[in-house]
Amino acid sequence: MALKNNLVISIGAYINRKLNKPKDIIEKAGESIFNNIEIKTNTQFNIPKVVAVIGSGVMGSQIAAIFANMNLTVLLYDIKQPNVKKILLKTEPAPLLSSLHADNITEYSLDNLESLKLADLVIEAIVEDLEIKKQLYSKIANYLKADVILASNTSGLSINSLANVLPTHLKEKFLGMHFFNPPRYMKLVELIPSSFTNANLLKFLETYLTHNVGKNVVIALDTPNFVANRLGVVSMLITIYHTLAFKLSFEVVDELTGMLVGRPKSATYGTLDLVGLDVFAHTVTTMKNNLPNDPWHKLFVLPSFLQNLINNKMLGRKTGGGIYKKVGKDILVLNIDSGEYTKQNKQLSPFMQEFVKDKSEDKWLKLYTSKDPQAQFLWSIFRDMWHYGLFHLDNMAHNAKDVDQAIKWGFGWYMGPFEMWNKAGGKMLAMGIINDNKEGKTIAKARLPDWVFTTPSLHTSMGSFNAKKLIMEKANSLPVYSKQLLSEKLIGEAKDYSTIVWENESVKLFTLPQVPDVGVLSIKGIYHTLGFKEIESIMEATKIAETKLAAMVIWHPAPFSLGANLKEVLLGIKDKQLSNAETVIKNFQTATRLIKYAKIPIVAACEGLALGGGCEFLLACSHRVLAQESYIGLVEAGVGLLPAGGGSYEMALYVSNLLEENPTLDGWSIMQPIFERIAMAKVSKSAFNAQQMRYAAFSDTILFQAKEILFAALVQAKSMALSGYTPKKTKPVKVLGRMGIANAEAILVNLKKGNFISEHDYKVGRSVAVALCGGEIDFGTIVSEEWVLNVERSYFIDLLNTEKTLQRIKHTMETGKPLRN
Amino acid sequence: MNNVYIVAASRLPIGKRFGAYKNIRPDSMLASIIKDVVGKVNNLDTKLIEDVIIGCAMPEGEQGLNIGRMSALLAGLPYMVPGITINRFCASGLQAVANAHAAIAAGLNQVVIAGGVESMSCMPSMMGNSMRVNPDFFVHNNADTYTYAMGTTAEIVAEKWKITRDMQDEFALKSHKKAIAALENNLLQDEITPLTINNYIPTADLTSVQTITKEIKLDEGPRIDTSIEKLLELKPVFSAKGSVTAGNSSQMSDGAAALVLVSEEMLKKLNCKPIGRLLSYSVAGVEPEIMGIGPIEALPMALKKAGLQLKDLSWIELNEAFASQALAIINTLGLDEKIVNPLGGAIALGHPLGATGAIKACTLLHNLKRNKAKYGAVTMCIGGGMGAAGIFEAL
Repeated sequence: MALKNNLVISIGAYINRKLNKPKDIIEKAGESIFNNIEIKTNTQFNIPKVVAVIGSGVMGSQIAAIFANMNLTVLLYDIKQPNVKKILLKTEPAPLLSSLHADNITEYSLDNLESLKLADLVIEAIVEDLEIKKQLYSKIANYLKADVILASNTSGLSINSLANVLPTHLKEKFLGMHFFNPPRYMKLVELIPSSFTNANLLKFLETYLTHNVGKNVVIALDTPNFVANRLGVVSMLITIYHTLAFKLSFEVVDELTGMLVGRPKSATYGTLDLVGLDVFAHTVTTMKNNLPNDPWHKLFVLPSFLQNLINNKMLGRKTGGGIYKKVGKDILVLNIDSGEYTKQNKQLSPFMQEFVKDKSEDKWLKLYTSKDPQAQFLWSIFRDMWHYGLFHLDNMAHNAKDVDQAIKWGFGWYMGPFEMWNKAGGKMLAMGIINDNKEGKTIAKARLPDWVFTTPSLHTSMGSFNAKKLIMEKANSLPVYSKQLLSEKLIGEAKDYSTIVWENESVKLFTLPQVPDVGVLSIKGIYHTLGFKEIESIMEATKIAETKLAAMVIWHPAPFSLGANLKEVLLGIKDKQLSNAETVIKNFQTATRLIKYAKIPIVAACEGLALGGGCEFLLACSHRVLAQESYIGLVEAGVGLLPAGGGSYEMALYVSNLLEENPTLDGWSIMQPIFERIAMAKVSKSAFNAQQMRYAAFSDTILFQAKEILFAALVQAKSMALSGYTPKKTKPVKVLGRMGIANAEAILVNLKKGNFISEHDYKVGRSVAVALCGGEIDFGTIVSEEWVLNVERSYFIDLLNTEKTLQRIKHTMETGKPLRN
Repeated sequence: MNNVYIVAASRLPIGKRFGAYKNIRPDSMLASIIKDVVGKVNNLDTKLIEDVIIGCAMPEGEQGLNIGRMSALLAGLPYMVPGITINRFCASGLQAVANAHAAIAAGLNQVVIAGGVESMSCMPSMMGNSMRVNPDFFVHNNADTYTYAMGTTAEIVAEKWKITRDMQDEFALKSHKKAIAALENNLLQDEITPLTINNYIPTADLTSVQTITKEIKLDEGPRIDTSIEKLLELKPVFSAKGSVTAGNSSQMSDGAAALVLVSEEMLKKLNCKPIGRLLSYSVAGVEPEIMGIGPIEALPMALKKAGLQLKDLSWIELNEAFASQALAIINTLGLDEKIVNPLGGAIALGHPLGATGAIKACTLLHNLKRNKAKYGAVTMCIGGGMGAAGIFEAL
């Protein structure tokens, strides 16, 4: 009865809020998370069901794949009827979730436009030529339905001049929608309204792209190359300029401008090869033609070595070489003097080797004072990037936050340029810029705006800096962002509010004001690996949650968990403390059992990697909310071990449940693919794939927007608690026993004879089979959970006792890669 | 001993696995060829048929429930005609002919139908419908070789008999070329009986069921577009640095064949012409891990029993389970390549396990007759480590 009342109050509260009923009723159901969320924000526009993409090049076909992954009907057009599905299915990283999703795409020639009338959203992604785009718009205008949304994926052409060719009724439904390559994985979408674009449409699309498509939107101005490419391309041009000035080699520059400064591994020239030199040249030309008065205008020219490569059709990876060239197993690099491809030499100067280890906040200023050429180079490229960014902040974007986020989401930098500015102490840096400017070292003579000296941080708790209005501007307040609980903040921004229930150095259990009766359990530490301390703390926290809270969510920022702490495992063996290892494994099993059989519903919210023990924790939860980009797997075999935290039991239980439903099923035919993927340490390529692999249930929740998983998990946990959650009870399983093991062994025998696997692979594979099949007992025996856990544990310890497994663990710890021995 | 004669032999075109016959039941395929072969014997009162002996390598699932009996009933033979299913794996079809021969020779029967059937489309894996490996294989010494995949044994044979990848690919290409030439020269019409099949699918307007009728006339396996370059692109399947590929192994297939065997007395009664007879039949055991070389033992044994020598043979149907084992046999026995599989072998045509022996017997008898030749042999290797050989005489 109480439960029913709760539900009525929750729903009632939601309705009351809509009707603006007295506040006290709302407060009674104050814990309802639904109160803060508008479920439907706009009724003027409809969620698209049919999406058309025109242009089947790399961007067009992969944008089509995004919507195909959402199971929408996708129409893909090109001059000739495209045939890109096979290419999409072979491309790495995969644009499509599966071949099933490819079936959502139908390909048409542009002579066959009748079908275009079905499209709710039309995205143009054809060649970057204003005239050709205009011709296309005239051609398709008559085939668009009245309430269509029309968007261009141009990376820099003027949206207003494109809008001008459209008939009046289409003008307000048109805007720029700029995806980044590769579109499935790069989260940024720039939305660029023209002066005609309906303001509500812009809000609708920002919400739709964020919530449904899972993108991170930045609203850009209609300026050449918009936000991310504007600063991103200038930053590259600056880097190229100084590479030549300091006479550094390309590979050294990539060493200096990659992970070392919090940017992707591909750094500068690797990224150029990745995007294609021709595409890069195009964006440079756009800036050259459209920014004639830019003080940095002399920079908007391709250096001759790049022009030569383009002339020689060396455009980067797509043509088999650009700055870098793969020859056999070696990746050679262009030598700018000789024009030949030679071996790489990434030697860093002694100063830079020290700098890498430097953890101090003012390390960037040390670059300024150093005489080391590599340090001077690094200072110069940052100095000129900040110089450009600060000078142009008033005309480049709405505010500093948009710039930082665009660069982070579109170029994969770990820190935005202004975040770095904030962190490194902007005022001091500004002095450096002024000095260098005086000495003629800066690329442009332009004077830094005055506000630079009065604005110590461009991101504050009051908002981010708007250089046009000279104020701190509050972040976008569309309701969709209220679902992004505890989302990552920029350096300088205010943190979210939460209440700690219990905390130690390994984990914390807290609640959010939106849902005060559902706990959030977060593991601290890097990669959320699971060591002895973490396991003990999870058990403690779970017990507390059971007594104090209605439900619990396990969440922390990605990755979900890289699994057991290998260092501890290794220490256990080194000291010959196998009994110690036994205790650790037993604890692991106890912890996952505590979660599995808890009195309250426990929901996992996962994004990114969930490997080994991390996967076992996922499997133990009563429900999983997964970001589509989740990579899950029981990978223990990779380090010569087997899933022994209850993971093998979960798989045996899965097969046993199916056999219970249908006793005539062939248990092995279900177990065989499970055995093969665990023995080969396979990882899912998406959350959808994880369901196919049985690492997630088909009833689990999958979100395209990773920033909403905590919200969705809280809603799920709360709703499970409200709907009468009954704790699970341990269940005996019918196992495949010796028959299953023999079937697995018949596979292993052939793989070994064919030299596909080693002697130790065989041993590991067999042990995996024994755990999955519930031990070396008769086929069809019904055994308790405890028995299967004992089997898991004893075969795990047995493997831990081998020299080869020890070597594997060591190797993986040191290199991050698996060892085949 | 009574004299035994073969009076009719025909086969269905061989279909690729999941190809033409993917929706056709193996018992229905077999029934159609039994009906056909019975119809070829003039004046035969079907009530006189005393047994239907059918070879099948995986007599389970759709091929279970004693497919020999089921197919006889489906073929419209009267209920009093019994049926039996026998299994000697890849030699099952040939074993059926030998069993029928023996029964009549011993005076137990007068008219017997022998045949073979296999739908590999019905088998989820090479290990049978429900893979059940005996755990004891891994307990006893060296018994794990019993679980070697056939391809794994082919790799061992390639290594021991020094059959290189190039030799295997070249052999495979020749098999396809011979099969294509046979098709182009129309050499198959005597042995093959086409099968008319129905597929049932919804109509385009989704209001009713439409029946699509197709006549399967030719073997599906031979590839006109294959080449050494294409074969070279294929990766070894069974060994990381091996030589056995999908291209130089037999294809997985669906097929069926049947023969009618009668006693001399019955031959006279029916007043029909024999097409040939089985002179001898031998099965030999070899080590399971080199099962492919079985015919090296079996063929000389059968020849000796028939009182013949290799040079007396004008046509040999040697089942090409794998190019490596076929070449090992050809080289070891010194077979004349010109008389081995002149119309192509299982690499091109396909190898529907239990049906193969009966199919090859059909091919041999019709081609000996066409070439006015006298003696020929059907021989094959058998999983588990055996070889079988039958010596036939055309009449």
